[in-house]
Amino acid sequence: MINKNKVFTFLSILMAFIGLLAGAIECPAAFYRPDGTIQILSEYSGIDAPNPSGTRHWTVIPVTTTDGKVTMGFYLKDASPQQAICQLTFAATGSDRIQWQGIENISPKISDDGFLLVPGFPAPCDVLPVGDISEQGLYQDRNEAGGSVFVKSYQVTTRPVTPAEAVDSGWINDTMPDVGALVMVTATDKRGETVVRQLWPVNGAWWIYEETPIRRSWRIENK
Amino acid sequence: MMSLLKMKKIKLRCPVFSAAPFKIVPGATFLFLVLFFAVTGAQAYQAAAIPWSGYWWPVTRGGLATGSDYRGHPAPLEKYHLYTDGVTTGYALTQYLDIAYDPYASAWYGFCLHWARAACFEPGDILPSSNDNIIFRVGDKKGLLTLAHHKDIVETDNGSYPESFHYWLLHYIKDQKKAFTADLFAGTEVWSYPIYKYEMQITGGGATQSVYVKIYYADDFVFPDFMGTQERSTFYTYDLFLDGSGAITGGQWTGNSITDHPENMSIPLGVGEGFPGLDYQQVVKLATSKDDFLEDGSRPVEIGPGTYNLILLDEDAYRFPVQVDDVISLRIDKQSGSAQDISAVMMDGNGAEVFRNDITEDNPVDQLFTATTPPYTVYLTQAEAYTTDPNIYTLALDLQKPFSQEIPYIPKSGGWSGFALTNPTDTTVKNVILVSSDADGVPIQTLEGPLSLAPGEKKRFFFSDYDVPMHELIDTERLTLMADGSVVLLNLVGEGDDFLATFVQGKARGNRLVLPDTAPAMMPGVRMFGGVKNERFQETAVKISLYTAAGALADEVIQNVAPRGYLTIKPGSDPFYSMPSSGWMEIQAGAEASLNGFQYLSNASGVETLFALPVNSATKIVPHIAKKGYWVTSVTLINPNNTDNAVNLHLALAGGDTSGDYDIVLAPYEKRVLEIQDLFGKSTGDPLYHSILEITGEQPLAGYYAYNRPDIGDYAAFPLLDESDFAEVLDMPHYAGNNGGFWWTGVVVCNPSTISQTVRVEPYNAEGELIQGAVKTLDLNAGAYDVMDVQLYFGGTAPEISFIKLRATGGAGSIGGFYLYGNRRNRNILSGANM
Repeated sequence: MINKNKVFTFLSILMAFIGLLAGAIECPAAFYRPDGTIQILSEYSGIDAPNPSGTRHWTVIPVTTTDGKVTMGFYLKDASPQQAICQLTFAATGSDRIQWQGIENISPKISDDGFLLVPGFPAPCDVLPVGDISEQGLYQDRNEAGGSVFVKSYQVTTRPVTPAEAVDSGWINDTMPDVGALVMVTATDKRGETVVRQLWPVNGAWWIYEETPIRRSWRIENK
Repeated sequence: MMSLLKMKKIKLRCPVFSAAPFKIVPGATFLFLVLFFAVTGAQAYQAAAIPWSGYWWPVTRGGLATGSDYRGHPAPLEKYHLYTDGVTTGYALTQYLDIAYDPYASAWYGFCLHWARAACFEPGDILPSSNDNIIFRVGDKKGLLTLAHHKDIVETDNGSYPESFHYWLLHYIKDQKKAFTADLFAGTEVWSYPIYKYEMQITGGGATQSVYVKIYYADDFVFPDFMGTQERSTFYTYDLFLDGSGAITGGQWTGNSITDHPENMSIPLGVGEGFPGLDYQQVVKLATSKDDFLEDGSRPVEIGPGTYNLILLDEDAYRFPVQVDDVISLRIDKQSGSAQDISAVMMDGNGAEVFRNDITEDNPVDQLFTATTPPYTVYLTQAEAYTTDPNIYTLALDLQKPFSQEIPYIPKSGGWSGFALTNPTDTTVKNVILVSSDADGVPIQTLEGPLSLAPGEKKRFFFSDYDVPMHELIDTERLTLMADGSVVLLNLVGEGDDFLATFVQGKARGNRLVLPDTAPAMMPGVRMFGGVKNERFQETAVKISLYTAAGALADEVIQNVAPRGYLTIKPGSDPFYSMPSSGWMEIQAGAEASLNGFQYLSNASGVETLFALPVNSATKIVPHIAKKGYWVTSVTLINPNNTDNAVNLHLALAGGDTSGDYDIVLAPYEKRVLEIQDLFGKSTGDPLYHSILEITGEQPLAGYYAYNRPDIGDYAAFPLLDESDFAEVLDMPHYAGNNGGFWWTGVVVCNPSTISQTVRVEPYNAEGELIQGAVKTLDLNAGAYDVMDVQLYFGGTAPEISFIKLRATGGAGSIGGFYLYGNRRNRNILSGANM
């Protein structure tokens, strides 16, 4: 038997997501550019879990420059000295250019299509083309090393998610205020393995849940 | 991807030695590849810094805390805590034992990944060092670095994809010249190593390229102290897929590499949270230090007595501050580790060889000799391999100089210990050295000197002024001052306004001594301890007899005291578990022995200290009896003889009039305490006012006199004076000043001779110069004494005074006396010493 309520809910979310996409088209600069500081709790798996609880607390601080660029610095909370582990720089509104810079002189990465992945990097700083996904959802990540060019291909997909599913899956807390409609944006590699997925509220400027093979991250309240 | 086994403990997987991932390559294939490689030429790239080999510290052993698989205790973490906290335990150690030590874990769990990351992130030579006199071996340092990289911030990637592995080789080793880590075993176990070099041959073209790559990595199949890099290598083959533009889009392993290829790769970006309780910066500071603190280029370093833990990274040379007739005890022990012998050569001041030794672990240098042609310099070398196999050794030096004074107690929990060191003589005194020693009397380090004290020069300092490493502070129990000539060392010990006590050894030494007080163990409000030092370099048998106040023998032991060693005496501890209240002890040794001893007694009367009293005279002097009604003057008399001892107490100014005398008979070994102010205390105008008290026994006596006031909670005690204490010139080594009305300094000078004397009172300033206009004189009849409050006596000149000399003029006799410090606000502070 079909549950009408669920159908209704799904349709509502789908409509909201369409609205989100439409809104995004109108205002593509909204994603990953929050007005204020973001707090993220990341839980790591494997031997690189940072402490017995396996968590790291990230503070993401946006800084808008005079030329309209927004730089998001990822800091480990309570670390001393305070040094950004990586930075994402978004171009002024109207451009999809993103620049990523990590510590330890890691080669910077630049993307012009709103898609920038740093798989294996500890900070939750992957950028997906939320709200501006290409028709086929296909993206490439090109890197040069030792005179060779390496190309990785990814498929980006979206699907609406009900709050109930998000709670059941541990993506959000059931005590969370009403987050409204949710969308899961997922990037998979050519082997079909998930590289990163991010759960977005339709009107959000930052994801509320993110997952990669090495970590799960939740946006938490600012304190 | 690796998974974390989250049970109670974190499981860190690593190989066992026997499972090392050597590749078994059929000979023909291997030969082909070698020839192929040689003919075609390969790309070869290497990281700028080669990671070091280190141990993987298996979880089953917990070696970083237990020392298992390494050198036992102290283990690396114990040394870390010893260095940072002064004790061998701490939070890092307990955390390590809790989360990384499990005897029942799988045998291959360990810290190979963290070693590999540390080796990548902390490149460079790691050499042994002595930090704060603690030896940190290469294994200690690598172990601590490994643990410090326990929670690195890392970039990771899946090395089971050949295109990813290929990318990391090119990106990190070729482009960035950095090593990275990879799990080089394809099974479930994790064997991580730092890869730092590769040789690569690429063949083919179009859409597929075939790659042969030989990688080089550092091994962890080494003893923890291994220095440098034990290189291992293996090779992999794979195909890379290219798109039309020549970009690499994927790949697949080929040949044996299909089943045997790298897995997880990582490169540390930072140290992250590190290990709980382990300070990363401190670990790096330790790890990057080398050699020891006694290096001064190629010049010999002058060292005083102490126990030095040292590294032989180049020739070491030491010179000793001795003069003719000083006794030198030198021992050099080679510690385990180096395969090289240490060559030791000592040269004298004429360039003649004193001795030459090849030091092995079983053959130390152990020299005891009397200096005839100083200075002496010892040179330590090894034949080769200073930087690859350096020796670690311990040099223990002790000296016996013509002048030495003991400070037998150092308060370390809340108290203070201050010193006034004065050269009251007219000549410079050289090689003044202050040495700390442990409970057994073993020298720990030279805190001060060797320095020269000019005539009249005075130094004031506190023990807390010295930067004593915490672990040595805990061991430090006493100090010894030694010098080429006589100086005066005053030590004041206190704790806030609670008490004041004094240590001035003076001439208190001999082979027959008396410790005049005892107290039972665990007696509320009473604390007593003491000790006996053997001043010579020969082991000495010491008989200690414990008596009750009534003279009953309570216990008797004979103990061998090590050369220059210390025997601690404490109620409730060996050798006297039980002690009587208000008893005493006699300490005896052979005629050739030279002992000193002390007691510390805290009870309802206050706190006071005394050096053990030599038994050398039947005639004693009390130089001052306070008048009745205010002060209490007491005399403690001990008869250290097995016969009755009739004792007469007589005021000297009474001359032949014995009507006021007091006679007692001390039973064998009896101790008696007399309050004498009512018997002998006189007021102004009395003909016997300011008369010294003569105490004469039929047999030798020992004892002390003491002052206290009922309204303050402290007292001052002084050994009874006898002929050996009298001199033409006396030194009052320190005027405590006024300090806003806090202190007063009293001086008593007496004339024990049979003729009148004029005493010249000479105040000296801080520069050791006589304050000419302030010199005073006082006349003392035979048997009389005088008392002065320095501030009142010198008035406006007093603030300039540093120390005072009292000089009997005319050369007709000698004088005696004491000085006393008190508090003008009636705080519990009262102590002093005989001059």
